[in-house]
Amino acid sequence: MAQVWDVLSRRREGEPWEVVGSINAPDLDLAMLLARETHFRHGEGATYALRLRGDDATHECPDPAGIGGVIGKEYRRQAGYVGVGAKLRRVHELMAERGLVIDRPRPPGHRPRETAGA
Amino acid sequence: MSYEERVGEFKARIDAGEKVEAGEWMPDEYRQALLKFIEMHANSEVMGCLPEREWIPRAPTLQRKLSLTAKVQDEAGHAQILYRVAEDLGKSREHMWEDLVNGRTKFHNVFHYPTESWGDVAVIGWLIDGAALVTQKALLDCSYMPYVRAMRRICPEESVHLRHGEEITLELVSGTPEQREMFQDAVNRWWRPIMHFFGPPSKPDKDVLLYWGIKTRSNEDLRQEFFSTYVPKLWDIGISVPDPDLAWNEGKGEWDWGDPGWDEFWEVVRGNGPRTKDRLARRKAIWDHHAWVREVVTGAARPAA
Repeated sequence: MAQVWDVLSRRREGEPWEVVGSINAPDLDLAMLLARETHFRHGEGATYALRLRGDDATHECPDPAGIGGVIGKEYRRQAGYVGVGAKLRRVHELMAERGLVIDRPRPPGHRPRETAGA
Repeated sequence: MSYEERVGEFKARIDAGEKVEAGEWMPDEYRQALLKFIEMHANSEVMGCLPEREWIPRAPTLQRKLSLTAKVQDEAGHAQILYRVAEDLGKSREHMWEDLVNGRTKFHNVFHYPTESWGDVAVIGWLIDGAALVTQKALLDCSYMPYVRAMRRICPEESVHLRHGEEITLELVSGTPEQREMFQDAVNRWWRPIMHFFGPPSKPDKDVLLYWGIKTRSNEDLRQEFFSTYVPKLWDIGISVPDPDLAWNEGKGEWDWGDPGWDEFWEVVRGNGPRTKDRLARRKAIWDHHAWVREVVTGAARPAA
């Protein structure tokens, strides 16, 4: 039967363990795999460990180097979308050229963005 | 100490900003409200996979297929995390699943609607995930610590989804007139469900979730933040919002907005949305089809030693 395993993470090398959640799994091997996929799929943390709920022993991930995957999946991360700000500026310019910018009263701090030609 | 005294002490802890851990004593009212809320959140994540999943085969490029697939995978992962948190409150995952597919528990209104075009994928990724992020960031200060941990895991992924949606949006609005119209049409169709997403205006002093510190901000407060964040952005890309009454009221320091009508919202809440029944049937079929995976993962299929 599946048991409850608490998942602990070390965000960076040398930092203390921190509980980040829990998972269900019938044994340690599957618990390691599920914890990696559920909590560290995007490379969150330097390493992780598991503790069977109600038990004191912690079991550290044996191969933390592979956390987050080893092939390019940048679309899973913020880094995969760098350049969105520049695209937004280009769209503002395009809208201004077409006369499509809607300028109505806005909350403070939300003035219309200036375009390069403005 | 009487039950009432323990409840009073618990409430004082909540009001002082203390966090509650799984396994700690909690009033029945708190546990029930928390479980119902987190269960609905988990249901919404897993049901939210379906509208976008329909567009994976039709995504226009390989890169879009990959990013949309990853997004759907993230939403399924969020459901896994949230069901686990809910289980600690005393309801088994199987029971929660049975209640979901048989229509006894709820999921967010926006996942009861069809996704008619690629423009809908942009709206879901940018505006609906944006609305979700506004509400989920407010849960980072929830009184129940395991839920806070889940939100710390979920919010950064939702921020990536937002970028995914924003990028598709910018591509559509700067593309051909047909692409631009596709996005405007999607905004027009989705605006009312997005208004419904935040719920009807309610009295904060009657909200049991606010009372227990499960939620920390009212429906209206969250809706106002959504307006301030996204309406000026829509205007800046030349997209109009289908609410003639929507305007920033400088005197009041808040947005005026038109009543979207709530009959449709209550119909969806009752399980009569345009796609409710077939999405639940689809979800049940997936559950049945993948029974063997659950048996392996839970150890039920393991041969005796």
